[in-house]
Amino acid sequence: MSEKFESQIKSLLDEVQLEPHDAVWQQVRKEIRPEKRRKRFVFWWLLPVVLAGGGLVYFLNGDGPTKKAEPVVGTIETPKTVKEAKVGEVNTTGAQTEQSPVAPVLITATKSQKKVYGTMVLSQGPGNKGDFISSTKSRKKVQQQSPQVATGASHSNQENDGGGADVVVNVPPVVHEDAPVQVAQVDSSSVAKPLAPMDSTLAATTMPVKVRAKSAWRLGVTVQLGLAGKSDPLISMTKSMENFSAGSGSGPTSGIGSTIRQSSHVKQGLLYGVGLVAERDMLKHFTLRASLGYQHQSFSAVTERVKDSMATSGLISLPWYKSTDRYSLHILDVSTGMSVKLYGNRSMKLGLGASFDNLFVIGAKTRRNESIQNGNASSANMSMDATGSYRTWQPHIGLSLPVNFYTKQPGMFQLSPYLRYGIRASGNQGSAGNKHLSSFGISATYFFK
Amino acid sequence: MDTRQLIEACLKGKEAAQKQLYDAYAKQMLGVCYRYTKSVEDAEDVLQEGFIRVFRSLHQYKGEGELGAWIRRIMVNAALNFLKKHQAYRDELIIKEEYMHPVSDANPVITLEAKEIIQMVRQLPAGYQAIFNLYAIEGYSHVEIGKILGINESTSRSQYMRARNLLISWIEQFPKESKKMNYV
Repeated sequence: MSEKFESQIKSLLDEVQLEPHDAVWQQVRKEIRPEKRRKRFVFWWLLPVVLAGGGLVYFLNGDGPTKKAEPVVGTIETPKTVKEAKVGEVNTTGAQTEQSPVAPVLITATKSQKKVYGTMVLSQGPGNKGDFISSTKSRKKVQQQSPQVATGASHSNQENDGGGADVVVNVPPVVHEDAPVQVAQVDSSSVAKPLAPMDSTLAATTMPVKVRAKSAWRLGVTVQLGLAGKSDPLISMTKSMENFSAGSGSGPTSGIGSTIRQSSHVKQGLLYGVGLVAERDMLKHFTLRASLGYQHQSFSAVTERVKDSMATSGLISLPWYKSTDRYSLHILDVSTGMSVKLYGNRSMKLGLGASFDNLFVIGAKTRRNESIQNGNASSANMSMDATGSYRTWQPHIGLSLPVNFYTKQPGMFQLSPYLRYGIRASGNQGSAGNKHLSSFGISATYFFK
Repeated sequence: MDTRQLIEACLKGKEAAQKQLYDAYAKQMLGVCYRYTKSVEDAEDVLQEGFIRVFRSLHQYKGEGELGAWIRRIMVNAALNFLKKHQAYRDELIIKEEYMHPVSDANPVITLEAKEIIQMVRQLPAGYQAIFNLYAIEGYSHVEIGKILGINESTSRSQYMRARNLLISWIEQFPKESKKMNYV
C-alpha cells in the first residue's frame, strides 16, 4: 500500500492550527495553581508553629525561674557584719556549724554590699561590687570583672567549662554593716563531709572563675551515623497520572485523576550526616536546639501497595481535585503491586527542637530533599514515581530518645546514642501523605569553647 | 528564553513562563485535538486536560526529543481518554470484529484544503477517526493502536482501510465549488 495518500493527509493536517478560547488557559491556570499553593502551605505551616513556640519559650524564660544552683551548705558568720545567719551557711570564722559539712571557702565582701537574696555565687576579685550575685543575669557581671575565688571546695555545675568553679551559697537576706568583711579562712580540717569530690588542683588555690552565662548559646558541629527505617502505612492521596504512558507507544491505560493508595511501604538503610548545632538552655529543664545539616541516606525498599485508582475519570466533588463538570466519578483500577527499589536521599535539613533534661528531644525539621534513583523499580504496576528525581521541602516532627551523656561542656566531644521516631508530612509531585520514621545510631557533637 | 529555561521557569511555577509555553503550543495542539473530536468545544476540553497534564508532568520531560512532540503525545492520550469517557464517542469507539477490508492502492492527489480534509476526518465514526489519526498522522503501528484501543492488530488494520476508503471516496466526490468551510 502506497503511503502517498497518508503523507499528503499528514502534511495538510499538521498545518491546522486553531485559536483556543481564552477560558481554556484560565481553566488550565486554575487547575495547576492549587498544587503550588499546597506546596507552599506544606512548607510554611511550620513557620508560625516555630515562631509561636520560640516566642513562648523566650517569654517564659525572660521572667521565669532561674536555674537553681545546688548550694554548698555552710554558714557565713561574721558577727560584726552579718546580723543574721542560719543553719546551712558558711561560717567565716572558721568554725563550722553542725550542719555545715563544707569545704573551706575564702570570702571577701565589701561594705557596699548591703543585701543579698537567695542563692548566691560568692567570688572574690578586685572591685568587689557585685561579687554577691543572686541571679543568672548577675553572673554576667561577675564574669566581666574577672573575679577570683579562693576555694578549697567547689561545686561545679554543668555550666562550668572544667577550669573554673562556682561557689554557691544558699543564704537568706542578710544585711551588711559598714565595716568591710574580713577575709576568713575556713579550716579545712574542720570539714566533716565534703559535699562533692574535689579536684585536688582546686583545693586551697585561687583560681579564676570563668562563669558562662547560663543562657548563652553553645555552638557545635555534629556528625551522625546510623540505621534508619521508614514506613508509610497510612492511606495517602495522590494526584497523579498513574499508568499514564505518554511516549511509550502503549497508550494510556488510565488518565489523570486521583488515587487513594494504601501502602505498606517499608524502607531501611544506612544514614550519615554532618551538621551545625546551636543550643541554649531554656527554663529549668529545656534546651533549645537549632540545627542545620546535610544527610545522606541509602535505602533499599520493598513496597507493597493496594491502589484504588480513581484515575480513569475526572472527579468533581473531591476537594483535592476538580475537573470539568462533565466528568463522572468512577472508581476503577483496583490493583496491587510490589516494587523493590534501591535509592538514596540527599537532604539539607533545618531543624529546631527542644530537649527535656537531655532525656528526650522533641523537634521539628524541614528538609530540602533530593531523591536519587539508583535502581529500577520492578513492579507489577509501574507508576511514575518509580523514576526520576525530585526536590521538595518536607517538614517533619519527631521525638528523639537520645541515651545521652551530655554535659554540654565546650571543648568536648559528646557521644550520644539515639533512638528516634518521627512523623513526616510529605508532599511532592502532587502527592501528600505521612511517613513514619525511626532510626537509631550514634552522633558525636563537638561544642566550641 | 530557550526551551530548557522555559521549562525550568514553568517548574518553578512562574505564571508568565507557563503562559508562554501554552501560547507557543496551544494553537497547534488544538488542531491535534480537533481531529479526534466532533466539535471545537470538545477539542478545547481535551486541550485543557492535556495542558494540565503537561504542566503536572513537565518534570518528567528529560529533553529527549522535541518538547512539541512530547506535548503532542500527551494531547493524543488526553483525546483518547476523552473519547472513552464520553458516551457520545464511546459508542462509536467500540469496534466490532469485522471482515477484512480489501486493501486499496488508490492515492488520489488531494487538491482540497486542510480545513476540508479535517472536516472529512471528523465525519468518520469515532473509532475510524481515532485509528486513522493514530496511524496516518501520529505514525503509530497497528500493533500499538491495538494495544491503545484494546483491539486486535488485524481489526485496527481493517478499520483503517475502511476509514481510508471512505475518505478517498469523499475526497473524490467533493464539489470543487463547495463553499468555504468553517471549523465548528
